[in-house]
Amino acid sequence: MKRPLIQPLILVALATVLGLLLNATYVLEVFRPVPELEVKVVGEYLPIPVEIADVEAWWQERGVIVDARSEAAFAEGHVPTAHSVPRGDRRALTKMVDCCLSDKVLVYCSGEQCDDSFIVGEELFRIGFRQVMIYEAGFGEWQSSGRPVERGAP
Amino acid sequence: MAEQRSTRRAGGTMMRWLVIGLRILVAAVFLYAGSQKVFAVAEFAAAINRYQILPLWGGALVASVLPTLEIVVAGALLLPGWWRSGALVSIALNGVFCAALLSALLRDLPIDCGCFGTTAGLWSSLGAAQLRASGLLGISLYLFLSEEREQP
Repeated sequence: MKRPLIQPLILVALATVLGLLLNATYVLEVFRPVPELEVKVVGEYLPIPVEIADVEAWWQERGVIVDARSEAAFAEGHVPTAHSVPRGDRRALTKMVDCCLSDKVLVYCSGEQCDDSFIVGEELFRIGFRQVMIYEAGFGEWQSSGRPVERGAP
Repeated sequence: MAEQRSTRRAGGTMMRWLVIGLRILVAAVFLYAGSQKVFAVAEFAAAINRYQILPLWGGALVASVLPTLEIVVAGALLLPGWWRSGALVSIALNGVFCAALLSALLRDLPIDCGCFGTTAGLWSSLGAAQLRASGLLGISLYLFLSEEREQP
């Protein structure tokens, strides 16, 4: 009866060591301290829902657009010029402050069924983007409407 | 008497093949699930974080270790002398999956399970994942408690 207790521990230990070795770079990156972002909340987070025509106009004006989906989904296709800020990715948020902090930002995710755009929009609001526009129909509608799509990793 | 012995032997052989078949089935699911995620750790961490259960660093750690654990368990299930331990770890893994999926279903989270990376489509819906995890949990329990001993 001892073996069933020791062997599972060996299996878990082996998998843990292998997993951490395989993903050492990723794990070290995650645990590297990130400089604290300055919170600049003014007023209440009230995102503005926008339609595809508004998104197109904003894109043509070269406004700041944020893709709140995962990096892999972003790489498969995104609105041209969009920045990738997956939910919970503080490094990507820091990059947004460094590169593009402005009054207005437009955020989208996959479509009506996802809430990542809303959550990332709130994070952007907290770090200083005053007005957050949410494109609720998301990338699904943008792509199916035949509008331009850019591919490639962030 | 001889007839009884022969019936018992036939039953034993059937039971043995059933156990082998179930071990291969559970191992195949774990091997597929692990291999789909083992080199997509950031993507898998994002899928874990969508459950909103663990802190971000916890999601990253689990995403780094879970795919290799699934592959190791698959290997153990196929090895004589190790498969019962593999079944025990599988019970623990599927128990945790079931709890996490149930919690996501109760909170009505608009997510997929993230079990097979990004390629599984409908198989990744929370309902389908809950059914699959419950089935695998049942099979793993059966394997762990089965009377088969040290069979290849």
